[in-house]
Amino acid sequence: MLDVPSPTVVGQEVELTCSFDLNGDTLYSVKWYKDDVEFYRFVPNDWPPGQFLPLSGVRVDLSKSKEQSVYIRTVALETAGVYKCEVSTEAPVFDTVSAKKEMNVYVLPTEGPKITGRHMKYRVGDTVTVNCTSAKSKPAASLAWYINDKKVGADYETVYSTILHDDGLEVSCLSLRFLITSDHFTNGNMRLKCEASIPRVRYTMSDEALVISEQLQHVSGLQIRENLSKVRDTAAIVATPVRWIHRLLSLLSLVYSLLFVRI
Amino acid sequence: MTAVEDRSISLPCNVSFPAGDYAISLVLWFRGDSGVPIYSLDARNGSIYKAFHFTDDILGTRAYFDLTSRPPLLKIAPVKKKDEGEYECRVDYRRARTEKWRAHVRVIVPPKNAVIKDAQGKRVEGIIGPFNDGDMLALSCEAEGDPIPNVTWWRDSTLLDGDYSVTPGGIVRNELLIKRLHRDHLMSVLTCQASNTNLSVPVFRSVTLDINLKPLEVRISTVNRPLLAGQQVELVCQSSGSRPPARILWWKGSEKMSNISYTRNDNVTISKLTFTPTIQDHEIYLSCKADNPVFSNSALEDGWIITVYHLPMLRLSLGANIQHDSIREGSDVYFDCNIQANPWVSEVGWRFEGKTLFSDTKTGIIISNQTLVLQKVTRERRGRYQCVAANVVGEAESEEIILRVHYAPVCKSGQKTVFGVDRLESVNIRCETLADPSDLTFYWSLNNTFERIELHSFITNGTVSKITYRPRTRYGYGVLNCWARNEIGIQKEPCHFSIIPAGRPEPVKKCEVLNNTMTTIEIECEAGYNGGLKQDFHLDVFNYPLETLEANLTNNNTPSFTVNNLPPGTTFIFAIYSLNSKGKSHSVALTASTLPTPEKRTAKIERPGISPVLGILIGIVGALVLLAILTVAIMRYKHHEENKGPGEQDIVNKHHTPFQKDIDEGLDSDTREPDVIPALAVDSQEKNGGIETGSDSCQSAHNGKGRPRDFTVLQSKSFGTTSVSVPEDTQGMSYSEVSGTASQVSDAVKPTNSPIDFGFYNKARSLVFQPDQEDECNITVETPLMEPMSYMPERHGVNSVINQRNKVSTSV
Repeated sequence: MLDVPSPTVVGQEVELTCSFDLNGDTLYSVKWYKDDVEFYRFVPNDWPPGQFLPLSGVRVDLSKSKEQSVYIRTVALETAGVYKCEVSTEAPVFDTVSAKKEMNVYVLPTEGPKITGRHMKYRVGDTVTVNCTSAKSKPAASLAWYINDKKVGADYETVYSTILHDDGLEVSCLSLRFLITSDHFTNGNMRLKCEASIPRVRYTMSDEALVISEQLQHVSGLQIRENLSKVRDTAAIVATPVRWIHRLLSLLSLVYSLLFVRI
Repeated sequence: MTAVEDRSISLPCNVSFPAGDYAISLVLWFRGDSGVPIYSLDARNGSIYKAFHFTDDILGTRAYFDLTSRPPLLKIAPVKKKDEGEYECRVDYRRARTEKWRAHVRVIVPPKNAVIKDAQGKRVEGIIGPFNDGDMLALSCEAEGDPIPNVTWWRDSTLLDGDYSVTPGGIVRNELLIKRLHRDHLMSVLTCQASNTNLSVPVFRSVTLDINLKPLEVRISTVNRPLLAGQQVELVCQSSGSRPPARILWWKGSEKMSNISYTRNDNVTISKLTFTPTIQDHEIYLSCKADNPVFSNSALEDGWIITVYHLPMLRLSLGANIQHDSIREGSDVYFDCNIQANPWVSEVGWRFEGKTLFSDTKTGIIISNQTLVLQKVTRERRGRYQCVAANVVGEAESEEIILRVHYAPVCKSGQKTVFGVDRLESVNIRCETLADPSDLTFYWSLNNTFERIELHSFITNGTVSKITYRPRTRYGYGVLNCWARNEIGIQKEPCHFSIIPAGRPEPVKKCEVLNNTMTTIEIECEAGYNGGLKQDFHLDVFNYPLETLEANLTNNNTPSFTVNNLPPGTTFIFAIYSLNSKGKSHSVALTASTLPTPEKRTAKIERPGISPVLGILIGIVGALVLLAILTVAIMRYKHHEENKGPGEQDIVNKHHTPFQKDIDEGLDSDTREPDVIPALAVDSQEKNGGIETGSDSCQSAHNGKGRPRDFTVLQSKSFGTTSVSVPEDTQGMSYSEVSGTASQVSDAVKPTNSPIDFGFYNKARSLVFQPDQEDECNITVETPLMEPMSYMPERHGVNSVINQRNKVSTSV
């Protein structure tokens, strides 16, 4: 069984495991391919048994790599691809099995989304037109608008777009446009929030803006505080995937041992 | 890549093959999803060329990985269907990155197991059938292959059926249906073709159709022309188009004919009918029917109405009203010619005794188409009658009918009518008559100037009556009449038989040399009157130059002789005379020569033709002179010896000369007159040989009685002179009245013995004894061998006149 963590986040170290059971046969080779290009092999009869074949995006840590696993030091965007491990027994049969798995590599936004285009004061009957733009990421972040902490429904006019940059990262943009009613104000204030998220890696960051009724003043200090708390939240969220990967790997090895019974 | 089953394929492993540390350590070939390599090459322990090759059970020895080629090739041969699939070659290097090359191999299975089946599902091949013309034909063709082959039906280059279906078992089937087989399908080749890809060779399977066919035509090829009855003909009928060849039957009307021969080839039948038509076959329908027994309604027919010609068939009959037994002279007779002929006769003819009859109203012959009328028939009309008729086939004649005509008796001609009889001598006389019916009663009578006596003693046998007659006195001579009677009537003109006193025969006549060769001479004469008695004929042959008797011959019946064994190139004198019991006739002499031998003959040709004649003449002159001297001598001697008997005289005479054979022994005692010396006269005549010395029937002046008798040469003193003496004769008085005056003139010559004739001596018929005309007698002499010559009898001072060549007319 092949265990390839996916998605991984750029900068991580990942271990790919290929667990097999030779069922009494002698091992000739374990070959690792990324996108059908060999980058590592473990041949017990060769010296050294573990050999690294340089490949862009794959930096193998030979010291940690073993018969049934490969350790990739720093995940980069190029690290993404289809990984295959191929196990062959010794002569004369050279019985060969292989398994494939794809690894996706994510890049999280370095900062939270930003709300632009809002006025400080609105009156009932005004049309609010605001944009929310996320920072660059891969894949593109999903954006959502909240009014007074309530997610806008389908009756609000929103337009989503993404922009792909040369480095392979994307920027998402979600515009919001609506007519203000008296219901939008609570105590003369209306809170607008844009939330950016990337699924599977539990990344969420948001930006908030307070809009005051014509009669009310916009409180800017409050806005800054909110931004800080957002940063803190982000750090917490970043730590979470690493923990998850560890947990997953141990689970994988368990499954692999089961798989090799089949082989 | 595509491979064809049972052929080979070379799979490239298109990777780099560096040397050194990057050299190959292991090559693995995989097929499909299986993780077990089908082929491995393990070079980890040394050179790749000493590497260890290993194949799985499926490839076995069929595969070899050839590293020497670039790219290296995995060669599989023969390829099997199970070799199909995805192939991957993995090359492990010692140091370099592992490389892989993938290829897909498609294995084509060529079409196979193509079979053709008939409607019953039975497998067929080659020539199939025979089917019948018009039948439906269903064939199916099945084949297998991968990919599924196109199974198509073809006839030559024409696609017949391109639709096929695939059974669940993977068999492709194309069902061909020909709704109606016809003539054009015969021996056509139907081919089923199964093909799948261009790489494989299509498979063919063929059948050839055999078809039973109806005949297309039947024709009597012999030209329809009239046939001849009884003549065998061969008629030819031919039929084509039938398969198997047609059966041909011949029919004549409703009668099936036999005697048929056949020739069959391919689809033509020729039938020959050998057929002898009869008259009854005329206008009968003759047909030739051809059919193919396989089909019930395939018969064709050709026929003729034949025309049969035949020879006319004639049936001759007497007219219906005529009783054949009652036809007598003067009756009218008619014949009918009943004719059956096809085509009709062009003309009808009639024959009597084999000679064609023509209409002649004068003689009462009327020919009218198929009837012959004979008016007032005479007995000459008796005989065989036939009718003849001709058409294009030929001429035919009827049976003969022999016509009988009853008639009163008539005397049969050609009977001996003169009988010389001595007194008291008996003679048998036959009287033959012709009569129908032949039941006759005869009558005989003797007529002469004195009396007419009925005779009764005779024998009758049918139409012949015989009497034995003996004149007792001179009144017993005369004419015997004989006549008969039958139921038609009495004989109108009796048969006459003259009974005359018998005498010596007359000389022979018209002698001629018929043929002469070197050794043979043939002579033929006509017999003269026999003197009323049986005569025979004698020939003496004298060798002229040798003057010897060469031969003598006798002929009892006719005066004709063939003298053989004569010396060639010699001249002979031939003396011919007749002899009866009364004596001998005068001799007739002629000369002839045998032909010379060929050599001599050539030499003799140059001589003048006249020379032998001259020689003969000279000889004769000499002989005559001698004779004359001799005669004088004898006469004197005779005078001297006159009192001696005649017998002695004869003896003397015989001694006198070798030629004296012709002594006239036949002389009557009446004629032996003392003044005549017959022996000498004869001698003289004989001696004279070829010269005509005789005078004929000349009446001597003093013989007033006019009885011609022997004329004897008395004396001739010199050549050309003869004296004729007529013996005194009282014969006329010594006999009965037979030689009556009435018949004297014409019969006068007959009893006369002629002197020697020479050559072609014609006693002219005009030479009439004239009792009143003295001293004159005409003689005509023909001498073919001699020049005309004048001849003067001394005694009468004769003028001789040359009438014409070879003829001398002499007045005496």
